[in-house]
Amino acid sequence: MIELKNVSKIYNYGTPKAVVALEDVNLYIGKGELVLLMGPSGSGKSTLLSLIAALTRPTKGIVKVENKIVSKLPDHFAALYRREWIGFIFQRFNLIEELSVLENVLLPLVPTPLSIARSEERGWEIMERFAIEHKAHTQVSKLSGGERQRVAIARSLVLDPPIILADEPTANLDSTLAQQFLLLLEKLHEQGKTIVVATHDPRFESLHVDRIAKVEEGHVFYT
Amino acid sequence: MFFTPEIVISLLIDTLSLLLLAIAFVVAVRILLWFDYGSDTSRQYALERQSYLASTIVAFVLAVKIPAIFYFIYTLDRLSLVIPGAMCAAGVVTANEYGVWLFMLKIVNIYLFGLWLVLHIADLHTSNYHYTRAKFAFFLLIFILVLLEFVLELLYFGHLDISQVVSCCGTLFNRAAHSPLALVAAIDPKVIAGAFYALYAALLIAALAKKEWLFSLLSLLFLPAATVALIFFFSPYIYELPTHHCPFCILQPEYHYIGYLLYALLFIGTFLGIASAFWPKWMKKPLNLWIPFGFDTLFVGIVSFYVLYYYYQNHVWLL
Amino acid sequence: MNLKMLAFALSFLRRRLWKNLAVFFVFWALIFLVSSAFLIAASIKKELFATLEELPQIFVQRTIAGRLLPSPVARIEKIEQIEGVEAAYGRVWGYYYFPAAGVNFSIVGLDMDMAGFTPWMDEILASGKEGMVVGEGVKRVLLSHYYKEYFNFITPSGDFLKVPLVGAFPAHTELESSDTILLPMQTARKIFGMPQDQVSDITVRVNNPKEIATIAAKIRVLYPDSRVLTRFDINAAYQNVFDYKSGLFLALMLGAFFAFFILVFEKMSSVGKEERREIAILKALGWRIGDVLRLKFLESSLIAIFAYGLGVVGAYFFVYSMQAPLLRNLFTGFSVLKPRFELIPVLDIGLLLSIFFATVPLYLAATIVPTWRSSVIDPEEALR
Repeated sequence: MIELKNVSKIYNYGTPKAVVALEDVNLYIGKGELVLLMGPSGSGKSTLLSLIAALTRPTKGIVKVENKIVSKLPDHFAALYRREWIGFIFQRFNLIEELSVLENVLLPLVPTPLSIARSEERGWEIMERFAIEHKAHTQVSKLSGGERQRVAIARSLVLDPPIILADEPTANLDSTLAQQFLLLLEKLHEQGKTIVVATHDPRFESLHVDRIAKVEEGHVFYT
Repeated sequence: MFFTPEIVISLLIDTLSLLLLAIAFVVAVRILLWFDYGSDTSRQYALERQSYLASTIVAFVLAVKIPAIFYFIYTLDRLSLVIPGAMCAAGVVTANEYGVWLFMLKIVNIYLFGLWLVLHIADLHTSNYHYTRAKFAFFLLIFILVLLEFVLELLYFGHLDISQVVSCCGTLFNRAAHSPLALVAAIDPKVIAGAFYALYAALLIAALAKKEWLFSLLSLLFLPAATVALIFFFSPYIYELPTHHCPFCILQPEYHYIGYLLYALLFIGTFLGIASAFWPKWMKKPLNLWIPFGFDTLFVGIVSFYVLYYYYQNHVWLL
Repeated sequence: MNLKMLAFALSFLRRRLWKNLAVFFVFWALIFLVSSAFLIAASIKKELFATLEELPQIFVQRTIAGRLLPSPVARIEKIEQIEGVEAAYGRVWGYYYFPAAGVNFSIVGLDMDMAGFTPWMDEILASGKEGMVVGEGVKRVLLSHYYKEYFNFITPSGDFLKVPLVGAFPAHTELESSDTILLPMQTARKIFGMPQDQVSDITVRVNNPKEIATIAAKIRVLYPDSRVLTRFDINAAYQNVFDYKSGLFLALMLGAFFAFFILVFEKMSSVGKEERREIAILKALGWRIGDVLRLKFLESSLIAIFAYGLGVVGAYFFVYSMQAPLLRNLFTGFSVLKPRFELIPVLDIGLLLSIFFATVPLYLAATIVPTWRSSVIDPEEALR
């Protein structure tokens, strides 16, 4: 499903400030797998997720998703690819604080050709699924940690993508919330989503995962 | 040179557009020199990003230029209050040798901007920036024409002389008159009308046969033909005066601003018509020719209605 | 246009209210100033043209060495013989300096022959009273010098001439006539010391208004020493003066425009860390560069539309409710007799368009480059 071949990412390539983030990485993630990318911060995990999401281009090598090269798409196609394939859950969730829950959930739908009525319908469906519809018109800044987490997941799933990428999702979460999040991930996994989580949180070790990849100083090792 | 607020504003808008286009011009040159989708250099990424700036600028300038041409006509209309002899914009446009060229160039440039945007949208929908070089080469041409337009505009306003008597539309488009359009004016208006309707019929046939290139070519001819027919055949019926030939007076409130509708229909119809030839190649799907033909039909319908209505009311033909 | 995008643009604007408010206010002030100036000029022009409508179609004046001289009465008859001329009248008029108040009165002599020129003149002549009728401004000045019932003119030979005041005329076109004194032609001649066979100038009425220019040309041929003015000439001259004034005002404003352009550019260029992150999130959620551009452009457009609407409404209030203190002097000049006139409201689509084109494209143009810069932020870098 997701395939990285000889991928290197060097920031400021060709300048004296060049920084190697990933070097010659090969990685394969199968359909419906739950994969952990473990490693200390700054090891290149986030870059790896960005490459899969086509948010950045590799300096060398190619990234394929469903046998299509996504590592060198023009902006228009990269965005369409993300809409169709990728749900992104960010570190600290990165919700837009002053917008309401509904507005946050609708963000991925705004640039799509979907009508306002259809978009809102989808928004309500997904909020109900994660039991936050009663807060639909509440500003995100007034939500509790658990609610935020559910909004972030609802937002990443509103377009029903087959792949979920999560970047340090449990950083700054207390153990109850972290536990809840892990349960949610397991549920999504059972529903057949392909999930890639970048984390250095040891609590993830209790999770039922298909594979763990260790990321260290730009290199990836399977265990 | 004398200035009215309208002239200052027209010049302000055009200076602003030109400055923005100059930025796009620099981007265009850089892209033509170095754009290479196959390469992975940071320069290539920067160029891809800059191409968005250039296309935003072109879209913005087009969005300004379309209402600005109507504002330009309004400016001329207002100048007719100051320039002796002028009754409407027609007299002001012909007040010196630059006016007519400036006006035609303004219209041509809007069509070119429109075509550029079609090419741009097509480019965004290719997975490898297939038309990027082509569209920026095309842009260089547009930029030169806009520059020319700006120079003409400066010359035109600079040479306006309010103490010199100009002709009003009554004499300009009079058949006996000695005017730039005298050659066309010498043709029998019935022949002009005949040619106009014949072109319209040809457009119908081209649409039925789905021949885009033919349709495009005919649309290109239809624009001047319709303008000439409007001046020499249809306008007397609109003004209900056998001697009144003018393409500008129909924009005035006395005629319910019908000119704005007519020109909008004509411009959209002929623009889409001309663009239809490029559509299949660029957009990967043919343009439905009935859309431009529909606009053309509305135009033909409205101008014909004036003729028939006049006949129905007065039982005579004017020409 | 994408309505969802519009709704979100509104939400986003609400969030950065304070940052946007500063730009909004400056833009509003700019539009307000431009609109006020345009409205004042348009009002004065409207008032002037209302006055001009009542003017004779052709004026014939005699000049020697570039100076105006009285015309011989004999010319009136000659001009009346030109084909197409309905009638020609001699006028006696001039300025009378009133040293105590330091002002000039415009004195216009009336003749029974001139009936039909303006309705209020007819009314006064029909009443058959001797004496003078004055404009509101003159009345005010006279009252303040305790002349309630008459006024003593001093003729060129030094004699006093006492003229009773019989009334003041209506003041709907005050700009031109509030300094005017109307009195019988013979009285005017006495005040100016002008002989019987001369008039100040000659006015001509023609049968067919389309022939005004032709007849004016014929008069020029008949009397080469004359200056012949038509109503169109005067109209165009005034139009010109006010266009020139508003044009000059705009040209002076160009500096302010430029400063505004820089301000918007600066303000828009300072994209905070928070905003960069936000744009990165949008991109990660499947927004294209074009979508981000559209959102930002809609935000700017909304600011522009609100500022434009409120700026124009504010200017209407300032000019017509408050009578544009300070700014109106730019167009009318300072004068003791003339300033007390009402600006008449003008609603002209062309005027609104002019204000729009003078300001809105400028603002939007200033936002393009900064907007583009923030839309192409590398999402990966901004999220790190």
